[in-house]
Amino acid sequence: MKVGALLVLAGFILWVPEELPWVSAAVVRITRTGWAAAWLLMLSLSVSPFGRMLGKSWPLARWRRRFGLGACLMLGLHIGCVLRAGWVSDWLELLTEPSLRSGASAGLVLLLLGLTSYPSVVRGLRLGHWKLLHRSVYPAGLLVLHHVALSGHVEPRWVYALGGVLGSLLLWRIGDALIRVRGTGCRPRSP
Amino acid sequence: MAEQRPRSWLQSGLLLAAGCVWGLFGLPTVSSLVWAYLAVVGVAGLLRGRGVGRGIVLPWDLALPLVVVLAGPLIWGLERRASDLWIHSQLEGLGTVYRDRGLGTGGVSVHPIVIRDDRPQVLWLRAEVEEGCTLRLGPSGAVISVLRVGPQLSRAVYDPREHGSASGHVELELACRSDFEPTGRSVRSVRTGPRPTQLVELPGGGAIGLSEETDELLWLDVQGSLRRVPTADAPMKVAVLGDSVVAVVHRFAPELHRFSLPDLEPLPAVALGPGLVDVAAGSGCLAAVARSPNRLHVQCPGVDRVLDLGFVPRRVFPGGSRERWYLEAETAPRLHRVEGDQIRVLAPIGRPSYAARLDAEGCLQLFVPDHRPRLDAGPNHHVEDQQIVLCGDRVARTEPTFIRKASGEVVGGVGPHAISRSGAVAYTGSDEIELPGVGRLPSPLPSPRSVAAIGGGRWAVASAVAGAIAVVRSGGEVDRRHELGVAEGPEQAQVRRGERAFYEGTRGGAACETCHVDADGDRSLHDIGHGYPRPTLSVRGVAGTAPYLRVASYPDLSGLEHFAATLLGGYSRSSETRAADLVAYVESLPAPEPVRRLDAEGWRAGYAAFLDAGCASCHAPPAFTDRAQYPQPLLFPEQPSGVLLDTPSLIGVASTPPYLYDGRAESLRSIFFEHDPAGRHGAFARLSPAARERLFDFLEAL
Repeated sequence: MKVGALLVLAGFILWVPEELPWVSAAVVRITRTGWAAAWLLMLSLSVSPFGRMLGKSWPLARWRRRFGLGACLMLGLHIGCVLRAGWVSDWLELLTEPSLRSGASAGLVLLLLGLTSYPSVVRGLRLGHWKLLHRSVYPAGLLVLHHVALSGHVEPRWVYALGGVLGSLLLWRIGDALIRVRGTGCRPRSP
Repeated sequence: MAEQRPRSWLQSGLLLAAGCVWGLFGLPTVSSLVWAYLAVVGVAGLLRGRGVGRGIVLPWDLALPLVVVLAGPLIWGLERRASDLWIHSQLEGLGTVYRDRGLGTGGVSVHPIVIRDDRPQVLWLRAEVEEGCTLRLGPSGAVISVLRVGPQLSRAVYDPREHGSASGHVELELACRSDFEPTGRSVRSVRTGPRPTQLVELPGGGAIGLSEETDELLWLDVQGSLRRVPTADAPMKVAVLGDSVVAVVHRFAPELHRFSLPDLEPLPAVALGPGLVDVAAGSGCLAAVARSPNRLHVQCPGVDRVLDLGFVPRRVFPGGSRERWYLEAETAPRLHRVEGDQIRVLAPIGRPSYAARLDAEGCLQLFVPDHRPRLDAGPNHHVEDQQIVLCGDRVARTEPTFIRKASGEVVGGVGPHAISRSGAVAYTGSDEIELPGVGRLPSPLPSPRSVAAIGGGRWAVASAVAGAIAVVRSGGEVDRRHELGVAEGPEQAQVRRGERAFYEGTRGGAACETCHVDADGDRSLHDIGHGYPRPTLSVRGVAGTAPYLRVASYPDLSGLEHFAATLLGGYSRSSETRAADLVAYVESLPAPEPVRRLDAEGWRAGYAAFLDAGCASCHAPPAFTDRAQYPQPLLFPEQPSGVLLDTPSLIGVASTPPYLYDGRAESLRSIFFEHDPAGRHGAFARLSPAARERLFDFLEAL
């Protein structure tokens, strides 16, 4: 059921009418899958703050991992569309071209995070402290923002929106950490 | 002992450590910063997995000072590398890119975003409008009719003479019959003042010049007194026939206007059709060249001839007889000789010419900005302004005009933009004039655009930048100075300073204008630091189309100054505001003139073909660029990857060959017929032959 829903979503995102007067189908597919991955990532990151605010009554409180895995799926489709369109014919471009460098870096980190979100994989790899790695989802988010900002195929208002959401989430995360440190953090409690 | 929560100090420590590790990366990019963090996290995870550091307890009282102490070096290091990070991650200039990109998306958008008050301009509107829709420049502006060209695209012709001039930022108001709900987009209007350029010597003494922006002829008599004579819209070239007639070509008038000498009384205009671009006089005849259709008109007493040309003409020069004329092509810098009805192609002259005259021996003396690639000069091109003397079909001699010191620095003779009939030369790039029998003198005005003998041992010097004409004696003393301008605001002054900077020669001997002749391209290729030569693009009408250059390496136009200040050796004259001035000037330039005119049906049919061929996918209206970059192999699979190609705007594209990223296509047709066998450059192949012709007409009319 869940897989079927994801496939329907992927099909909807990838379907492009043949006759488009303004843009090419390849660009549309690359843009759509990229944005789907980015916004699913933002959704995944925003689950915790909203869950903290709304408590257990929030119906999406347990969807953080699902959103994250959805972002990974869309990321895979995005990479596939880019490769199929021939936009990366030399792997060296992934190091030399800033937009591709950021995108590839973000993609690697996110795929790694997606992989380590499966307990069986974590057990198999004997990763004792994989949760620490998941903090890198915020730097990965910054890389995503850098990637889309430099990409020449996106409308500025969506980049501003993504930057606003990511910035808000980062601020919340930092503020939350500070509050926790000041409230119950590192100061030794009385025995 | 109480339970500790080490995660907060651990995270802070990891961030600090990541910053330190980042300093070891060769390129300070955003990506390397994240990889440094990941490396530190990975190492920390491994160590903690092995039990290392498990027992470390750091009270907050100690953690805070530790963070502060460690943050100092980190901030210092970050600050040291921040500018490199800004550059390597292409964050520099992102604001300009986003401002321009935003203009092409969402709601009503318009191109160009900068308009001038001295000439008619086409405003392209990306908006769904109905027939009969109108446009206003501001709430009190005159109504401008809008032509619906196709889905989401309309065009309006704004003529300051008819619709009134605007100033500063103006909100466009688009009102349609159905709802009259205005939606707006702001454009910036630039006021222009008089810019005297050409001066032509009169046989009986005195000189005649023109000011295109203020629609005037500028008549200097033997005493150096100035009379300003109004004429039609945008006089652009003037020629003097014998001692009786002055002929003037206007940018926006289909007639050849004539005035009688010595009193400059108007004579009946000669209707030659639209598109006149140049006029010359010689052997008792007048010759004018026109575009669309491309023709040479020769008017001799009792005989008028019209010759169809197989190329787009740029200039016409006298050849020494009624039958012989030299023609320079617009689309490829070749000189043609017309002999009766025969047209013969002479040797290529390399670049579009600055100026020419027929000398006493009947040879054509031609000035060109010759800057040939030189392999031993590193990744830059070498610049040599040249004088070419053409006698018959033979190049008698070529010699550089500039003066280079032993140190390599060019100190004079840069930008020979004008030569008078008597042989006086104006060097715009080095602020000099060269007078026959006298030699080179410092110009009394900055960036002299023309110089002419007016008799009595005096010369008149015109400067577009100064908006003035000066009369000098052979010793260089200024006799008179005529200021043509009206009181200007800071914006106009900045544009003029920018124009001077654009024409100003660098220590390397080149100016911006050396390659961008008349702010257009020079139909040539140059390596400006990319490792391989690229065709020169026009800088006209580029406001609002960031990023710039073929590979989008300049996020804003101030890169022009950076390029000149580095690869071209910098300027001798110091200026704190040169970069901003250059940007102001370039943004004020109008788009190149189209080489074809279309009626409403022609526009619609052409745009339909444009859409059918998928051109709008990348060359998206209203600027006819999506301001995006594409990997080079997407269009040219045989080419190495690692290079992104910026989508160029198609406005004025017909007059800016050669085409494609390496200049391999000499014409618009050859792009599709010769250099796109796999059909990667749009879906041109699926157009019918008739639709293809409509598409080419559309492109030539943009």
